[in-house]
Amino acid sequence: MILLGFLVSVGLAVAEPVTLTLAYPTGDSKVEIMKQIVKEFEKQEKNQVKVNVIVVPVANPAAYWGSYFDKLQTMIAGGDAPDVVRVAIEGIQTFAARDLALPLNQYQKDDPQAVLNYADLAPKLQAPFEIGGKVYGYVWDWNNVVIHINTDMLKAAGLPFPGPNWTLEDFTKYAKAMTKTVNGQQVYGFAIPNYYFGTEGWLYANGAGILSDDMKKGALDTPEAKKIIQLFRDMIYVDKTAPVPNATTDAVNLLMTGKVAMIAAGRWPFGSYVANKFTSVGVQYIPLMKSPRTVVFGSGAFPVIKLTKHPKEAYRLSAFLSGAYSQKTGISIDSIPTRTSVMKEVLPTTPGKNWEIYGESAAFAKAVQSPPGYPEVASIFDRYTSSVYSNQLEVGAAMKSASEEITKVLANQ
Amino acid sequence: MNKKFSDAIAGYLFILPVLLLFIVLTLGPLVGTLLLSFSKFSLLSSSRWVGLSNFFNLFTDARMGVIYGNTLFFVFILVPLHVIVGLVLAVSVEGLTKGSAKYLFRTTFFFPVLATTASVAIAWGMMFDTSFGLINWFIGLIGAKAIPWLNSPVWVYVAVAIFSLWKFIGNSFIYFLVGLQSIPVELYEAAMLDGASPRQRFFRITLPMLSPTMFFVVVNLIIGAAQIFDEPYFLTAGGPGDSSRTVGLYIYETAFQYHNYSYGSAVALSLFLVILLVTLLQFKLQKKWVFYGN
Amino acid sequence: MATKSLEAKTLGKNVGRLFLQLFLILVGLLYFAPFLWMFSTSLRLAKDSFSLPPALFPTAFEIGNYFEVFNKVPFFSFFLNSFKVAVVVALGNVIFSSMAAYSFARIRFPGRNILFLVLLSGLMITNQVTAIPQFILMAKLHMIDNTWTLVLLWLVNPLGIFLIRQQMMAISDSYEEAALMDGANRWWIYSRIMVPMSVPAISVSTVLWFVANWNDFFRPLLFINTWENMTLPLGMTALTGAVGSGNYSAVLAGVMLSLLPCVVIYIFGQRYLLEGLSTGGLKQ
Repeated sequence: MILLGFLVSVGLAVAEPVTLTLAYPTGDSKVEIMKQIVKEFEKQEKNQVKVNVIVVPVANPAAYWGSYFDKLQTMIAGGDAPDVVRVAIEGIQTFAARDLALPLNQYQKDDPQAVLNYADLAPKLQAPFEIGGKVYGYVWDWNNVVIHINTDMLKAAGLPFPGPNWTLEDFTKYAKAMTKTVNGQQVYGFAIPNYYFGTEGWLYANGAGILSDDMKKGALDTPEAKKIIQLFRDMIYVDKTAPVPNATTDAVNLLMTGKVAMIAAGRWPFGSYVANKFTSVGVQYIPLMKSPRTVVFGSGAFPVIKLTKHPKEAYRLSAFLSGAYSQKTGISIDSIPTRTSVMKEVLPTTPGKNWEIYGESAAFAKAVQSPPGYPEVASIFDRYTSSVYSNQLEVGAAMKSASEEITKVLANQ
Repeated sequence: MNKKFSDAIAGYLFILPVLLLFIVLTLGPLVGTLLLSFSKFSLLSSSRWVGLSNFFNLFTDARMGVIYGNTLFFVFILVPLHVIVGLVLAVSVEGLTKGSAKYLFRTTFFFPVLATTASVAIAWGMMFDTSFGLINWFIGLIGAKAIPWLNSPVWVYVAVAIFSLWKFIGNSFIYFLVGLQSIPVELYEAAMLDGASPRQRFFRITLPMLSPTMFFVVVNLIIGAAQIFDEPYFLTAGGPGDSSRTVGLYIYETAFQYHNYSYGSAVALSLFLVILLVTLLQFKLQKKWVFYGN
Repeated sequence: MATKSLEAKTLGKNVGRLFLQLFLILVGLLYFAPFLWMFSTSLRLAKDSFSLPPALFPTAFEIGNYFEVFNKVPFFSFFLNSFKVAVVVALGNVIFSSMAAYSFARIRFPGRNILFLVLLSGLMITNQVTAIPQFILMAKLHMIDNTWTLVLLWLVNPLGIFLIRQQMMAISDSYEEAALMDGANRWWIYSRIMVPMSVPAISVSTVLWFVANWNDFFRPLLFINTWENMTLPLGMTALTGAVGSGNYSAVLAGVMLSLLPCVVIYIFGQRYLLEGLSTGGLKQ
């Protein structure tokens, strides 16, 4: 009897399809699309693999990736680990350092077909997911930081659309010209990018960075970095061309409603633009401060959690999710596909002037600095910059303290 | 069966569900926090005993002073405000309105208590926006300059206070209202016959008769204000910088964002001790000002 | 002479009274205004949600925003989860708290007073103090991301036990004695005599506890991981994230929707609450 039961259960285990869990964060409304994409994967696997998409709530949109990774780490610690997770560059170092991600090299060697045309993935964008020779995922999407301009407000100020080599002086002039009172209400020229990724974009343009190049020390107290923070602070309190930012400010909303003429963002606002039928927008590089131009980027992939019980199937899912079908279906409007072939197809549909810079920038993009311990580093960054932008602390002192605290955190990883 | 014995069994049986849950989910964790604060704990690897080093960190933590300062500030500002405003509203509604008007006012002041805090806090965050919020628009109408509600380390307290008073005044209001209604009318009639003015009636009758209610309200308000979390979390995220970061927020941040469970426990323990001390102090002092009996 | 000054005094008193009434109305309006703003803005087109002048009265009627809420997040699940947890917790309060209150009020057993004080001290043991070990415990038990965990954490209500015990102690002994003489057991006395006679205190504590639980944000924040299991407060933050960029109107639509159950709760609960408070409540 027992033997029979054993055989039956083994038999059932063999015949039953494998179920994988895919974790995806809330916030970019792609959940339905992910479910569609995994259905295609299930079809490809002839229904031997079922995929369950779980949505992880991001409780704090102002600290998006930080709070998402907190949740993931909590889930893993709580014994509730998913098999495959959406991870952006901000988290992969932490995952690798904590030994949470599964190296996929061997699986790729045994089953290269799963990653159809590996060379199609833009190499610079894939690089962050290959740490110490180990492949942790295949990039799906990426984003950068450029300047979005409300073209209606530009026209009203009588200004021409800026060229790619516009300088900081030009930018300041534009900001001033577009700060005015409209119908008794104040509108501003620029919304300060008071978030890690956005600020990093500006710092890179000036040859600086939030961290040192080896990501072991905080570097906000270099003269080049302080210049940018000081610029932002002065735009609020001296030129008065920028509104005071706070935790709940939504720059995209401000641009669409004509409250602010320029914002610093990647391609992600286009989802909202399209949803709100907002078409008076164009994009341009951040003003050229140091040559050659550097544009910040962040890419995302779908690493496999080491604790998974089905590594082979998880690898296949991870690879499928970076494939052309997944990219074409999932990344049509609000981020940038990482496959060169798909970029060529998708980018021309961007409803904004000068969309070409999105594709171009892949060649000289530099990864945003996302060390292990990113949530804590980003939190220190937020705290000190918010103190500066609310005129509580002076730039020099704040950036010095911030760098010291960051260095301490990095040392403790 | 011996009555005393069967009573003991019955007694324990009736409290068993509550007692078990209390031991496992409250007392146990309290001890757990105590133990955690003396160790360095990790969910994913092994833990070790570190004695007093977490507490040493607590006292040398540069942010701790500001954070406790904020929390105590909230306690000393919000508690009196809630008591005074709640009392004024209760006396006004009780004395000035009747019937359906009374019902309407009661609803208006009490309903925010029921409203989902997260929802209304999100809405208030929008209303407080410096450049585009509702409140600054009205301020602009009367010609004053826009106030940086959520961006200035000073105004942030005012913003949290305003929100707190709007959202939670219903609690003290309703207790005072009921307390007022239970004061025997005869006391007032007798006083009026003796020629007492409204002011005298208020201070000699109303306040003393309300003092038990007030004690209850104050104790609860202090405990609530000391662990304040929802208001700063939604409105300010603790900012700008650390100016509205409370101990409650800091515990959450330390334990659940940085996964430093041990240090978080040490901070939590310190908060517990502070609340315990203050509450015990109040119970001792109540003899001085709370009036029981007739 | 005397009559004139009395008239003047009465007039003065009436004017003063009128003044105070107007002031009260003003304050009342100030308290109501935010809800009006939320409602009116929720009906505006997304791109107008931040336009000034702000909407105090609805000028647009984009009900699409409300549908948007249901499209973007499983709002109904949020509501059901909140409801499930709150109702079970309320029932738990009615049963477990009254049981414990009866025991503390009426049964003599060793250690009774000490246990009662210990339980009462639970009022001072706050959320944050116990959260960390609770979380670790639940993680080890694999009970994270489970709404029943939320229920368990809310089943002990020291204040409720206190209030109900107060009321029970005021019930005359004679009922119990009569029942005991007829051979009734403790459970019968509890359920047929004590509970019906303590309805005010039970109602008060249940309504207050229900509301506190309904609004709880901290515990779901820690213990819930996926959005099918989220309660309403946590779901609101998910909504902000999912819809946020460029659409405050939809967020406010979600806010309004989340307030609807509160209105219902108020209508049903406030009668019990007020009756309970006046008859059973705070007498020391």
